[in-house]
Amino acid sequence: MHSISVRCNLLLTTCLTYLIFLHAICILYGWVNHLKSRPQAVVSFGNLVSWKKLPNQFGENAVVTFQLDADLQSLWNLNVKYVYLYLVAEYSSPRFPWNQVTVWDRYVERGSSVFSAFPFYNTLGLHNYVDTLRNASLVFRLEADIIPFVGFVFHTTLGQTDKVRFPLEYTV
Amino acid sequence: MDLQGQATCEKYAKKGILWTTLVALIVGLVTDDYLRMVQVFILGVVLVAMGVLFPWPWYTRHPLVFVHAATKNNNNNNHS
Repeated sequence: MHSISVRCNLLLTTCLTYLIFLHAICILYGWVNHLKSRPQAVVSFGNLVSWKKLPNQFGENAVVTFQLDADLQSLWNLNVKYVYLYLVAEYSSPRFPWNQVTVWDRYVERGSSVFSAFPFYNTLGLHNYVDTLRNASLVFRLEADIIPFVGFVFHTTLGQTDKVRFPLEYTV
Repeated sequence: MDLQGQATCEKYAKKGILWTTLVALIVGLVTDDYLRMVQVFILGVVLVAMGVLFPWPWYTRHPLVFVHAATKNNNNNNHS
């Protein structure tokens, strides 16, 4: 401690050690709260707005509406930065028995209690270029990734719709 | 800084950072805000740094007393 550089060194190493300890407690606290959290969500399928064939061989395009009602209050704690919500369409096709496509997503930050899920332009979509979706049975599932400030990313499934069957004939 | 002052400075630095960590943790748990916790921690570290990095007067209250050079030479002559 005889010079300022030695004192700086002590201060830096002590700070880093206690900072690691502080973040270890944050990670533990976030994990315990995640185990106790009980988020609620209701996902319901609206209607098939349009269902058409694209010019290429297998291309099909579907526009659907859905309703989300989620209570994410229990997900928030000290170590949650934001929640990444996304809607996954799961279906089976003749060639591939299990397909999952993210058709909608949203970053939810603390404090944003209510947001409009519809209408706005959705950058994602269900594009199928390999098999046909005619007469396919789909399930839309709302899932969430809990992004922390420090530590592990947790994943949870909030809810899902009943099976929705696409019609045999295109609507457009 | 004198030797005793250095020991005091080291003790203050370690205890100061420990208390800063505890206060920041309590603030974080109470407010449920990670950024507030980090802000309190940084503020505490800055305050501790202000108190221990510089040679304040309370660290120089026990200076070492060195033997005078003339007295040492007289002792050597008496022995020979």
